[in-house]
Amino acid sequence: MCARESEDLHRTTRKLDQIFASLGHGMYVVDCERRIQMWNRSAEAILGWSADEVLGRDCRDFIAHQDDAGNRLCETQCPLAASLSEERTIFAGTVWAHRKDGGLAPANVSCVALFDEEDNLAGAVEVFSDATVQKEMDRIKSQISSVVAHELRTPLTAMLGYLDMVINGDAGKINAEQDEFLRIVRSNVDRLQELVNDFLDLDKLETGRSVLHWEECRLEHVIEEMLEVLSPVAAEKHLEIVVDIREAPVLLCDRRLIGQVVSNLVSNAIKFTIDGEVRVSARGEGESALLVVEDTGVGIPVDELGRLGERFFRASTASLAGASGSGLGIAITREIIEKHEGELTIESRPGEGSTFMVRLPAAKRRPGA
Amino acid sequence: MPVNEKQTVLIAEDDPQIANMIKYKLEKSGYLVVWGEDGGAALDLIRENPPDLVILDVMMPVMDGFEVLRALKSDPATRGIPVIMLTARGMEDDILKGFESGAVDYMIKPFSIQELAARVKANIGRKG
Repeated sequence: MCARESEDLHRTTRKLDQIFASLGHGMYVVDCERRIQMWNRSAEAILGWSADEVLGRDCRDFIAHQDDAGNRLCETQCPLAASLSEERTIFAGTVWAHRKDGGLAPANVSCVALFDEEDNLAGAVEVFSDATVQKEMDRIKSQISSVVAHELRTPLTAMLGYLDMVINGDAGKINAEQDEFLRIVRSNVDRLQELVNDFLDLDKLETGRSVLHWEECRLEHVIEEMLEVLSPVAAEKHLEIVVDIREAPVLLCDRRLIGQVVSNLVSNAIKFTIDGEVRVSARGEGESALLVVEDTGVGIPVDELGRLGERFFRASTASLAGASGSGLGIAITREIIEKHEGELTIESRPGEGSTFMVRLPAAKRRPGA
Repeated sequence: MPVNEKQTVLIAEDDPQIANMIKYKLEKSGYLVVWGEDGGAALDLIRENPPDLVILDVMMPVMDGFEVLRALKSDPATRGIPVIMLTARGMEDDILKGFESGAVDYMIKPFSIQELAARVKANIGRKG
C-alpha cells in the first residue's frame, strides 16, 4: 500500500471512529463468536461498561439479553445470534439488557450481520436505544386504562341506576322542576359514560385485545340498520339525512365494528351541522366498497385535519356547533378501518362542511389472509 | 308454586350500593330479593334456598361469576335456575363465555336499571 492510500485509509477510519463514538444510539460490534470488537460511548452511557472493560469479551457474559418474563435469550432467541445465523437484519423490539450496576435496562434492539470483503460472515452489529421512558409510558398508559375501566364503571353504574329510579318515580312522585333538573344530571352522566365507553373501546382496539368476528355482510345493510337509530337524532335537530345507497361488493368484516364506524361518522356529521343536510352514500368501486358521509357543518380548519384521530383532539370549530364529545370517535373509527385494511380520507372547508370517505376491501381480499 | 308467594331473585354482586339499587328496584317490582356479597356466599344461599332467578356479576371476590355459574349448572338441584350475567364493557368476550356456560341473558355495566328489571321479568319463569 502506498503512503497516499494509507493516509486515506487512516483518515476514513478516523472519521468512522468519530461517527461511531458520537452516535446517540448504543452500538457494538461482535465477531462470529460474539466477542465484542467495538463499543461506543452511548453504549457505555446506557449500560455503564466502558470500552476497556468489554472489548474482547463474550457479550453473553455480561449484557445477557432477556425477555419481559426474565428468560435469557442468549442461547435461544438472541437477536445478535439470529442475525449471525440467518445472515439478515433483525428488529427485535424491546429486550432487557444487564447494566454494570446490576440493574436491567429496557432496550429497543436491531441487529445486522456483517460480511468481510470476500462476503464471508464476519460478525454482527447491534444498535440499541434506551427504552426506559417508553416502557414507563406504556406502564402508565395501561394503568390509566385499567383505572378508567374498573374504577369509573362502578360509580357510573350506581349513579345511572339510582338516578333512573328517582326519575321513574320508584322512590316517590317528583315534581316537574325536579324532573327537569334530574334529566340534566342524567344527560351529563350519559356524557361521562360515553367518554368511558369510548376510552375502553379505543384501548381495546389499540392493545389488540379486541378479537374481530369476521363475517360476510353488505355495507348497505349496515348503513340502513344504523340510520334507523340515527334518523330520529337528525330529525330532532331539523336536519335531513339524504341517503344514496347503491350496490357495493360484499364485505368480510366485523359487522358490529363497521356499524360503529357508520354510527360514529353519521352522528359526528349530525353533531357538527347547524343547518343543512347530512348525505350518506355507499357504492362499489372496483375491489372496494365506499362509504361517504358529507355534511354542511362547521368544517375543520385545514391545518387541523392531520390531527383528527389523535386522542382527545377536537377541532377548534367544534364549539361553533355547540357539540360535546370525547374527542375519541375518529381515533376509534380510524383503528377499526385499519383493522379492516381500509382507508379513511377526510376533506373539509371551514364554514362549508366536511366529507369523510371510507374505503373497505371487498370480501375476496380478506385482511391478513 | 303457591299463588300468593313472591318469586325470589338472588343478586350476587360485591358492590353493596349496586346490589342495593337492584334490590330496591326488584322489590318495587314485586320480587323477594336475596343478596350474596361474593361468589361463595351467593352459592351457599342459592343451595340453601334455590331462587327463581339469579343475577350474577362476573367480577367478584372469592369465586367469580363464571365459577358460580359452572357450579350451578353442574348441580341438578340448581341447573334449571335462569341466570343473568352482569359483565363489564371492554370484556365482551365474557358474553359468549357466559352463554356457553348456560346463562340466559346478560347486561353490560353501566346498565339501565329499568332494562334489567324488564329482563328479569322476561326470564324468571324460563328454564335456565
